[in-house]
Amino acid sequence: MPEAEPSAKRQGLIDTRTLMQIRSLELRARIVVQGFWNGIHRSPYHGFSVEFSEYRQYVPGDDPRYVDWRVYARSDRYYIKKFEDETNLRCHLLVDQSRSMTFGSNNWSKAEYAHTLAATLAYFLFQQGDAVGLLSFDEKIRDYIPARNRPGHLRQLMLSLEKPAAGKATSIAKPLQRIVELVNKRGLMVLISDLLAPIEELEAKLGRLTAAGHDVAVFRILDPREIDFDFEDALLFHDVESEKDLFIDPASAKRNYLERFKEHGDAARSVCQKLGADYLPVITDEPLDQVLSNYLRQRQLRGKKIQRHANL
Amino acid sequence: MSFLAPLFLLGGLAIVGPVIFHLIRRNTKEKFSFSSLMFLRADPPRVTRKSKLEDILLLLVRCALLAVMALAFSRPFFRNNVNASNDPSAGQRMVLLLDTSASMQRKGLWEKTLEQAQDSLKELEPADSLAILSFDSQTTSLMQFDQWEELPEPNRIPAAMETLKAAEAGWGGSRMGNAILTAAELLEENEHLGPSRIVVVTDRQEGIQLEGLQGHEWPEDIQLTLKTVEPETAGNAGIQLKPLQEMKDSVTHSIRLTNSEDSSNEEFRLAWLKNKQNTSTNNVTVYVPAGQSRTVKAPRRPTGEGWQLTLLDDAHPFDNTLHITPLIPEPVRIHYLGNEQADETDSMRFYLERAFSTTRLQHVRVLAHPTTTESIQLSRNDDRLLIIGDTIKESQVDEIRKFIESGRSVLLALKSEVMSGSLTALAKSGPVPLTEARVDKYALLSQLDFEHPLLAPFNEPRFSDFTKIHFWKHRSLDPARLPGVKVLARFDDGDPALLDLRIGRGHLFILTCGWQPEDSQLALASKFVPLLYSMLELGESRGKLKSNCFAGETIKLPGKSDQARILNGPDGKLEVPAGSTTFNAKKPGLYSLEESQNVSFAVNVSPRESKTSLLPMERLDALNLPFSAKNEQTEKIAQNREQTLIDEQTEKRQKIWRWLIVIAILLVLLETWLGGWLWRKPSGGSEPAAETT
Repeated sequence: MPEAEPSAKRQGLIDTRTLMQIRSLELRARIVVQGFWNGIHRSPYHGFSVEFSEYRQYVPGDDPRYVDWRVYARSDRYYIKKFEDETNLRCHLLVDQSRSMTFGSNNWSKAEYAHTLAATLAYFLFQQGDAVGLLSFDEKIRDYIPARNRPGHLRQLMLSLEKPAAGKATSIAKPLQRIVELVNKRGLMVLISDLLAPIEELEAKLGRLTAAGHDVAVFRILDPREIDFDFEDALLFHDVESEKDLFIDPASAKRNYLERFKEHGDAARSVCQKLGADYLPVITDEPLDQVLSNYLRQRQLRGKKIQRHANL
Repeated sequence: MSFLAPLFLLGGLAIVGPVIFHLIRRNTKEKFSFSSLMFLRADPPRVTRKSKLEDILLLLVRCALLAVMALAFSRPFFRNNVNASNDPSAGQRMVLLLDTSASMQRKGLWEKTLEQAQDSLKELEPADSLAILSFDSQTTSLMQFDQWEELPEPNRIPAAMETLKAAEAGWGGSRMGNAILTAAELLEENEHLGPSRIVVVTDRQEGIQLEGLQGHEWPEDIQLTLKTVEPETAGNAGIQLKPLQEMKDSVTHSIRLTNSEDSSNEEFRLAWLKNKQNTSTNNVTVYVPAGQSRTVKAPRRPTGEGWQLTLLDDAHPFDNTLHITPLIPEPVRIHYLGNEQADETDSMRFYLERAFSTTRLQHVRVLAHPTTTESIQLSRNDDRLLIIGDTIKESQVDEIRKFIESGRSVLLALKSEVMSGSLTALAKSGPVPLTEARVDKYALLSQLDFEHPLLAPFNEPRFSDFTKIHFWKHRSLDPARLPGVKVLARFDDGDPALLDLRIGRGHLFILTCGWQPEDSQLALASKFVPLLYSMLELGESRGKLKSNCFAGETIKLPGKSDQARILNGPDGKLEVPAGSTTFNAKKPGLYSLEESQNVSFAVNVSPRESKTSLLPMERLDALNLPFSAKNEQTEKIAQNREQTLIDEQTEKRQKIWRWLIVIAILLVLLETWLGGWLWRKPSGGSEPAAETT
C-alpha cells in the first residue's frame, strides 16, 4: 500500500470514528476481532492460521518420546509430533509511547489508535490461545509484561495500554535491544510505532531480532495530516517531543516535507524488506479490522512466497 | 471636570495592554503542536503582517472599557458655580474676641490689643464676614455678623475700625472659656460652608478662666487663633481683702498681697490714700518674693471718709487699690411670744435670750411679748424669727401667718397640751389633739432628717450625735392630721419631735416639747444655738448684702422696688431699673443705694486678674483647642483637606462614577458579544487547533 496515498475514507466493517468513541480498550478490541471473525466466513482467505504445526519424519537421534504412534499405526512410518507448547505462538507487542504519538488530527491521537491496534492484536491472539506480551517504551522502556496466556493476563495488558503517552523522545534501539535480551524463545515481535526516529538505529536492532529467529512485523502509525501536510496559513510549529518552535509557511515547506517524509518511509520499508519483516503503514482513520486482515493476508502471502522460494 | 482620586487615571494606561495583545495575539493563536519537526526546515517568518492590528472594533471596545473604568475609579465630578461659596477664599467668617479684662488696664497693653485687632481686620477679604465680641467676666457683642453684612462693602472695615476704637478695657475678670464658647456658638448658629475662624486678642494672663473648654466638641471647620499681647514691663502685684469672717476686729484689715511670677520687684508698701495722695505716715513695707503671696495686716485706717488702701511701688496700678466698706453689723430682731419673766431661770425665754449674742456681722435683739399683746409688730425688714412659747390669741394668728408667708421662720414650742388650739389655728388644719406622752425616764431624738436644710449643718458624723440630749417630757401628736407636714426628727418612742410645715415661702417649725429644764436638756445642749441660728438663716434675708464684690460680677441688691433706684458709684449716680434686683458693677469702687445709707458695698478688681504672668501654652494645648495651623505649610495642608472635603461632598452628590460603571458594564457585554461573534465567524476556513492528549 502506498504511503503517500491521500487519506480517503477506507471502508471497513467497523466505522473507526465510532470505534474510537468507545472508552474501554478491551471492548474496542473485542468488537474488531468479533467483526473480523464474522466476516471471515465470507473471506476468500480462510483456512490459515498463525500457528504452523508439522509432522516430521523421524531421523535417528530424535527423542523417541515425540514419535506419534497413532500415525505409525496408520501409516507404519515414524513421524515426530511437535509439542503443543512449541506450536503455540509467543507474541510480543512493542508499543511506542513517545509524545509524538500524542498528535492526531482526527478526534483521536496516534497513540490511542496504536493502543487500540495493540489491544486488537492481543485479543485476537489471545482468542487463538497464543501467549501475548507487551513492552511499551518511549526513550526508555516503560512497561514490560512477559508473554503469557492465562486468565487475567489480557486485562493486565489492557491496563498497561491505557496509560497515556508521555515520553519525550522516540528511541527504538533501546527497547529492541532489551527485548532481544529478554526473550530467548522464538516468537512474533510486533512493533507499533510512528518510526519518527533515525532509521539507521532501526535497521541495526531489527536485524538482531530477525537474527534471533523472531518473526517481526512493523506497524507504522501515521496521521493523515502527517502524510498530506495540508496546512494553509503560516504557523508556528511546536515539536511536542523536543519542545522546539519553528515558524513554517506550508506553501513553501510542503514539497520539501513530503519528499523527506516519503524518503523516510521508503527507507523504513526497504529496511524491513531487507530483513524479512512485515512492514505495514497504518493511517489512523483506517478501519482496524481491515488493518488486521491486511496483515494476515500479507503474512499468508509471505508464507506462500517462502514456500515458493523453497520449492524453487 | 475634576477628579477626587486622579491617581486612578493612571489605570487608563492599561489601554496599552489590549493594543499589545491585539498585536501579538496572532502568534500565540497560531502555534501548532506537531508530532515531529524532523522533516521540516526553519522558514523565516513573514513580519509584514505582524504589526497589523486585528479586530479593530474589539480593540476599541476594550480600550474604551478600560478608559471608562479608570475614569470611574478616579471619581470625577464637576465643580459648579453654585458651590463657589465652598471655596475657602470666597468667604470666611471671623469672630474677633477682645480681652477687656482688668489686666488689660496695664500700661500700653490696650493699644497693642487694638493694633493686633486691626491687623486681623486687614487680613479680611471682601467676601469675608466679621463679628466683634469683647469679654471680661461677661461676653459683650460689639458688632454682629448681621450688622457687618448690612453695611455696604467699602464701609465695612472702617466701621469695624470705629467699633474697635470705641472699645476700651474694663475691670472684670477674664472668662475666656465662656467667650470662646460663645463665639463658637455664634459661628455654629447659621450654617456656613466656608471656614470659620475665631481670633482672640488677649494678654493670656495666668488668672484667665478657661472653664467649659475642656472636653468641648469642636466643629471641624472652626479654627482658633490666639494673639497674645504683652506689656512693656512685666510683673505685677495685687492686693485683696481676706474674708471678713477671718478678721479679728473691724479696725485692722487682713490683706493678702500676691506677687506674680514674672515680677522683678519684691518690696512693696501699703498705705491709705485720700484722693490718691499719700498723706498718712503709717505705711507698711511688705516683702513678697515673685510668685508668692503673703497676708499682712493693713495699717490702721485714718479717721475720716474717702480713704483707700493702696499698694505702692508696683509696676501696674490697676489692681493696687482696695475699696473697703465700713463694717456695719446687720440688725436682726427675734421675737418671743410668752408670758415668762426675763429673770425666770427655768423658762424658755431665759435660755433664748442667752442663745443669741451680738456678733460683728449681726446685731441680734430678742424682743419678748406677752401673749396678751394685740399686735407683735412683725413688719420690719430686720424681723427675722418668731418663737411662740405659749398659747396665742386669735387676733395674732393672721399676723403670724402673714409673717411666715413672707418667707420667715416661726418656731412653735408646744410646752403644754393646751397649745393644741394655737397649733390648729396656725396650721389652719382640723383639730390636732395633743396628749402628754408617757416617758419612761427620758426620751432621745432619733430618725433625724439631715437632708432638710434646718438640720443640714449637722450632717457630719462629728455633729450628728443628738443622743446626749435627754427629754423628760414631751407631747405627742398625730402628724397625719397636719396636711403637708414633714417630720424632721422623732423621739425614740416614735412620736414626732420636730416638724416642719411650709406656709407660703416660710416655715412653721413645731417642737413637741420645750427647752426649759423641766421638759428637756435641749437648752443646755451644744446643738441648741446652732439649731436656732439655722432657723434664723432659713428665713429670707431682706437687708443682707455681700459687702465685698468683684468688678464684672452680678451683684444681688437687697430688697425689691417697684421704682427705679439710684445707686451712688465711683462714676456718679447710676440708675437701677424698676423691679431689678441685680446690678452689674463695671468699675471697682464703693457703691451705695441712695434709699438707705446702710446698703453699701465695695467692688474690687478680681484677685485672679492680679496673676499677670503668661499662661503657659501647654495648658491651652492640653485643652485640645482647634488652634489654627502654626505655619503656612500646615495651613496649606488644612486648606487642602478642607477642599478635599468639599470635593467629596460634591462628588457624592453628583455620583458620576455610577453612570461610568453602568457604561463599563454595557461595554463588557458588548465586548463579550463581539468577541464571541468574531470567534464564531469563520476566519480563513481553518478549523480549531487539534486537541492534544
